[in-house]
Amino acid sequence: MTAFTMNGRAIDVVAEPDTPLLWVIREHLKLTGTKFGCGIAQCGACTVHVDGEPTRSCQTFLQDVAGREVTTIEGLSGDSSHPLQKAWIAEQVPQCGYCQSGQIMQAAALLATTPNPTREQIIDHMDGNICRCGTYVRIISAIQRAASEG
Amino acid sequence: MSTPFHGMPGLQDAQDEGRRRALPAILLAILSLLCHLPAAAQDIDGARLFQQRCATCHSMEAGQNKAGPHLSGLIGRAAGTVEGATYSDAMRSSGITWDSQSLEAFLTAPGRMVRGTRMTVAIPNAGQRAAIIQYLEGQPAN
Repeated sequence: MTAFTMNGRAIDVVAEPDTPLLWVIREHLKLTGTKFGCGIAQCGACTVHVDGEPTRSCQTFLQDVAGREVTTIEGLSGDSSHPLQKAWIAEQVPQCGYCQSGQIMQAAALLATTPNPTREQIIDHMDGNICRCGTYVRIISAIQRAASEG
Repeated sequence: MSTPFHGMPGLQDAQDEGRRRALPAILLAILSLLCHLPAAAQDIDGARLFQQRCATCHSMEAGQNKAGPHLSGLIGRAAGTVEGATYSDAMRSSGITWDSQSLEAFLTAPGRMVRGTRMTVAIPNAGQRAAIIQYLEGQPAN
């Protein structure tokens, strides 16, 4: 039994302690917004927040989040009202959409610590999140938009 | 002439066109060999590279473990020993002490040096690797 907070709710998950968090999120908790991209922390599709820090959930284990706060894309806002989500829609960022949850979660962590990032800070912070469709230009625009529009 | 193919490009025209198109391309190829573009400054900025390739999983602050252990005081540290950090069994039992030499080997191909490690980020470019290692060496332990 591992107790932690998931999107603001206290929960207990019964699973092996070395179950990857990504599996817990998708299989046990049925929160499928977070995606499996590579399984080896190389693509960023599985990015969630653990105590506010962007974390590759494919390489984080259930035992690692005991007593901590986990936030997935579903928990960013209840109604797509997070500035990043609004900017993402305004800029029409996604194409296939598969990497976008991870992109948004990574970006959200940046804006939480650096509300007015430079373009260089954005591209450095987002370096580990890859997009096969190549939406990078719009990702940068959306992050800048969210930063300026709040 | 009033054959159906009068006015259409023939074989000679196609060959001429091919040569016309090839020439600029060949000139461009030769020119690019002669001009060596300098590596962008950011390629060798260790701090920036760390931010891009390492910082999502590794903090430089003592006590702040993310997907990987914090790297404060890394040089001289035994691998797999940071309290509270997550390690594979392979890393815990690796017997490595981190210094510029072991880091050079590790960052070239982590999975080759420590089979079973969770660390998958390799830095195959020697200049970038050296810059990151230099950055890590230069950070005071906190």
